[in-house]
Amino acid sequence: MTHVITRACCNDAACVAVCPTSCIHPTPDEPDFLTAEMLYIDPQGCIDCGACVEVCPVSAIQPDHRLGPGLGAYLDLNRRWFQDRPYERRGFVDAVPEPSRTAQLVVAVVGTGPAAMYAVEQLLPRLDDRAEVHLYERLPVPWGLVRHGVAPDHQDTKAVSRGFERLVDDPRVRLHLNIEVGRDVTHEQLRQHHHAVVYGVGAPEARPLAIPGADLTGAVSGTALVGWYNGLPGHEDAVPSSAFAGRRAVVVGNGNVALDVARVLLTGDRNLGTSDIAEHAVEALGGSTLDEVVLLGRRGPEHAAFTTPELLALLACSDLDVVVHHSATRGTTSRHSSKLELLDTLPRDTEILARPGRRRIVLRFSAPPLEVVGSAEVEALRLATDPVDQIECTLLVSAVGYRGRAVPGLPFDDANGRIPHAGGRVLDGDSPLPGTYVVGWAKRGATGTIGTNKVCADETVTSLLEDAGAGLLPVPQRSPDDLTRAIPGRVDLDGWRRLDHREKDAGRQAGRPRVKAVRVDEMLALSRH
Amino acid sequence: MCGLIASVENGRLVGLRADEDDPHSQGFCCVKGLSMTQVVNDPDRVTSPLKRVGGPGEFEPVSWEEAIDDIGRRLRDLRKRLGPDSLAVHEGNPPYFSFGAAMWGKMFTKAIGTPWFYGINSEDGASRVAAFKMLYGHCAHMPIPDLRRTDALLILGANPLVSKGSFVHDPHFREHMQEIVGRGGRVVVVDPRRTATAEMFEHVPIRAGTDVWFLLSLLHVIVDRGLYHRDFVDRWTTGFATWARELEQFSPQVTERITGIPAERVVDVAEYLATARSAVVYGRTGTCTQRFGTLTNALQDFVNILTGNVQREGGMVWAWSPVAIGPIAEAMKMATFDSVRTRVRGLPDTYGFLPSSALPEEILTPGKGRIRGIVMIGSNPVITGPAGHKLEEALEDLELFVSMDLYVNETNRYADYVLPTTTMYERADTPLHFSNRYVRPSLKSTPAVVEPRGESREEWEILDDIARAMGLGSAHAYGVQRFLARFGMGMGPMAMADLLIRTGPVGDLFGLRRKGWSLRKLNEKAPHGVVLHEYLPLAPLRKFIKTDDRRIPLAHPVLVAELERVKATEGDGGDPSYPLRMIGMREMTSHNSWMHNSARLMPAAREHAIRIHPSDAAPLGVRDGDRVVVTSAGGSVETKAVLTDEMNPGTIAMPHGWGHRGGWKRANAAGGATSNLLSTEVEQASGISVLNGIPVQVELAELSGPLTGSAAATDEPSTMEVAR
Repeated sequence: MTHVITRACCNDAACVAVCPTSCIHPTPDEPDFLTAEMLYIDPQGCIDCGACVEVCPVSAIQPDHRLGPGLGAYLDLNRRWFQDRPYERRGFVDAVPEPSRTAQLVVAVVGTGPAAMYAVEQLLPRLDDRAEVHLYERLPVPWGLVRHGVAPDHQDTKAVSRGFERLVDDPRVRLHLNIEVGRDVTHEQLRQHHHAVVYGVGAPEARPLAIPGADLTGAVSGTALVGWYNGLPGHEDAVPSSAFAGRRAVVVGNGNVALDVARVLLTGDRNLGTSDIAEHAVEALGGSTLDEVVLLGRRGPEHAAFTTPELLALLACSDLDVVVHHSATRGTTSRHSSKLELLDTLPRDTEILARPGRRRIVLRFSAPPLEVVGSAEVEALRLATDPVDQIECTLLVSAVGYRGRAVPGLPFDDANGRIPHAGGRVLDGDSPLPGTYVVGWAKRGATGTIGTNKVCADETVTSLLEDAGAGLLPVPQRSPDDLTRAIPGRVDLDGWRRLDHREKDAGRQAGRPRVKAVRVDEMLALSRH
Repeated sequence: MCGLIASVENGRLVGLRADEDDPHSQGFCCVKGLSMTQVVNDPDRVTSPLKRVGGPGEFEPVSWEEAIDDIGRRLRDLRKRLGPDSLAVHEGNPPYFSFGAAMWGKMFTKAIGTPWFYGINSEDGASRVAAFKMLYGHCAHMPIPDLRRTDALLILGANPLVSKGSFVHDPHFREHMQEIVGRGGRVVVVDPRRTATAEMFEHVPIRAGTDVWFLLSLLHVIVDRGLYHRDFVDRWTTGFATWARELEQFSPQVTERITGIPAERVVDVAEYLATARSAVVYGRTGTCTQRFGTLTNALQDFVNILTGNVQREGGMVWAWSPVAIGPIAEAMKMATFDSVRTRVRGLPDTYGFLPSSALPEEILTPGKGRIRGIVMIGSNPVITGPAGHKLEEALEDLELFVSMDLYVNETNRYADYVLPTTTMYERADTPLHFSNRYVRPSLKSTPAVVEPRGESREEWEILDDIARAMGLGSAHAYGVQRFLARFGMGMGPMAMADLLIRTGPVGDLFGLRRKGWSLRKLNEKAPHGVVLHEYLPLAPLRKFIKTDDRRIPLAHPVLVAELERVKATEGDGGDPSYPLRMIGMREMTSHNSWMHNSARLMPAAREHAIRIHPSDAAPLGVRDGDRVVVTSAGGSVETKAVLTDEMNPGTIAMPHGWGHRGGWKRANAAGGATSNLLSTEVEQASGISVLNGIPVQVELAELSGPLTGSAAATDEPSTMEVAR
């Protein structure tokens, strides 16, 4: 017997910390950690104690014999990681907490997504009772991409927010929702009312698809589509109804977001009992005639951006066929890779023909997009293949990545779509902007999983506390209360609790995990008494 | 006790790992032991004596001198003014990781001369101890299952894969169970929850709190089919005829509707146990903390006795011990049953401990012997005992409350003084007090690896100092010891340990036995410990039956009376307005209540929750992750629901020891509820609290204020009912 880590793994590494036999890898201090698709349990080392199960925020760990249908492959995935990777049973090593000498620190954290919340998680124990943390979120609802990015049918992954709920319960933490920097407050104001400001504002923009015709109706970014089906305010009309009137959608890009998009486009109106997909998306997808989504990779399968556990999960969807375009030959690479081996086992599109009523995803590689064809609406995508190929479609999704957005009053590296920094200290030219920090995607670009932010937050918070210790933080002249009191429309923790409860209650009536409010006015109404 | 290797940097404990060279644990260890680094170095730990200066939890540091002087003076005054029986000592779980603390608590009590020695045995093994005492005439040396040689193991209400064993110690419990199956034997786990242990072996789901009926039906089959060991029964027991007659009415067909266990499964298990080459029944807290806990434990032994599996290979055996810890506990009257009763409700002591559930009334009820001062050693009965909210009120009524602890917890926040104690890494220690419970008997001793943090001191030293300040000489049980201690000739725990080892069966007898052991030799020649026997040597059974007639009295009047109580019970005895039954459960990352402040064990995402079967949740409209209110006749608590088919329908499980609001921030922030607030009943026979099979109802929580999962007792303070 052994325990096995499955798809939902968020690389948060809480499991690594409690494994008495040190058999969960890579650990955060191993070089593979930052690039690992997920974490793995060595079946040879596991003693089935279950400690990892209790601390996993996303319920990704199960004993092998309880793996559901189609999940057996994860056991193999876990086992394979340890081939040629010996490790030492190091036991537990804990730095002795050094008593920090700083006085009371009032910290503003902007954003409530994973990066921001991991920063809070780091700040609290390290500042102990000298911490006062104020969280500012531009929307009336918290948790950033956990609510608005993670696919609606991945409720296990969304459960990571339960840990965030616990953090905002802490008396040292105050939650201020519906406050946006640049709209309701300025960076300068935050600076005047706090010792330090930490920006965890993410990367809300889409990287543009720079080909002709990318502005036609029916061509949307993955970022917009994800916001649309997740009920991100302002995205209700992000996808025109004409896009669903055809047979095929094409997704440019083949990362995990592309997989999510493909799956949701084809099955989003099904299995609603385990999905909090927005109502308008259920309606649109219910009337959709799309039965094929083609995922395009610019380069060959060895560069496929999706992760193996996500592909395994997709293959376990019984109501979908997943095929590889016939242009990809089998066994072309001798490199040892679970992902490539898995792709080799998949049928080619010519081997399983599209069947009426059956929906399928086609993975196509070595197919860079050339131009979008159409007069007003998307009609086809032309590919830079030899010879040039053309795929008819009514929906074109460019899922080629996220990029950051400039925060008014802060420096911004427009070329890379990030806030410039050194060790999490925001840089103005070459020198750090006093008391200003950045964490997460806004800091390092849109890479890594939820748990990667933990390591990232550790770096930023360490810089902040170093500066505090060195007396480099300007002392605020006024309290955060003076700032927030004056802002109309502010939603506090109780307001969020009411909203959350009502959404879940509506979900209970409808047999769904929750029914989301999608407009800001709707959210505000639900947050009131 | 698993061997660990400590890493020390600059005098501070920074790491722990399993000791591969330990011949006993052989590189095994669990997450709790390894996480002790975070307890040792915890910023929230108490590191100087604290004196209460305001409301609950408001303390200021004071010097040891000031604390001990004031405590000694006030205890002496109470003892003089109201008598020694105005004082009580209460001991919790952490001191049992210290040989000195385990020994000195009782000795201190004797030195004061009070009969009031309280403990948490009433939430743990009191009924187990009571049954042993009734059947065998003693309880200082309790038999254990001979795991390494048995062919059939029936486990009830125990989850050794997670708990790592209790009342029997072996780091390789899991392997021993797997080897039973490997030998062609069976391991059967009767439990209302498909625990990790049940999952690995054969699981027989049972309705919570009905183990007594299951065991009666098991015995029915064994007797009815003539499968019992006549010679053994004739030679060693009395009262069999009474039981043979009584058991007739408990056929598996009859008990099936109470236990939910199909009759054919009972027959199968009974036949296997009775015909296996060797067999043994092992039950733990799940069966102890029940309405019929004492009888349930006795009936487990009945299976061992009737099948002749007592003190034979693979049966229930009195473990060979390298030190005479049992006889000494017996001689010092440390391991008694019903030698003292509580003043108000007449609840007995078990293994010398009075039940903590009696404390509120013993503090608040006027009269001679009313408790006015308490010395508490590493305990938190407000959370770990039943009806903690009543204890909170009572504690504020005390004239003096002194606590020794690692933390300011939910109980000692009401103390006048909290005195800082050491962890096992800050003192030399040896777990001799468990030495007669090992499947593979061993000796092990460890030096201190770091200096005590801050001003912390060992419990026995503190007790000695307090006794001296009270004018008693030292915290020794006997006057002569205290007299000697006045002249600096008192004996510390390690000197006592050395004496025990040297005079034991493998001791060096002070040079008379050349190959024998002493503490010094153990430290020098066997720093990783030594295993003394791979398999338990078995002394003759007659040495362990100490009843007056040297027979096992199956028809002990208490057991017969308990059977009458079972017979008079309608169904399982639960109030029909509470349709579900609640049990406790072990979590791998909880050590009772006192390791909840470790960041490893308590990450932000870890939550307190009941486990409930989807078929029970559906009609209540409860979904996975919902907040729910669990209500019993005693009160209600709010927590989260996790839906899982590991529960037997009709039963919910709630982990205990949560709902903190002491001086430990992470534990406080973890929220959760105190499950023991729902307990309403105490078994009179042993004083054990009924914590399993509690009749409850579950409903969705309303949105009211911040949903932080705080435990709230119902408005009407409930009265603790004593089942008679």
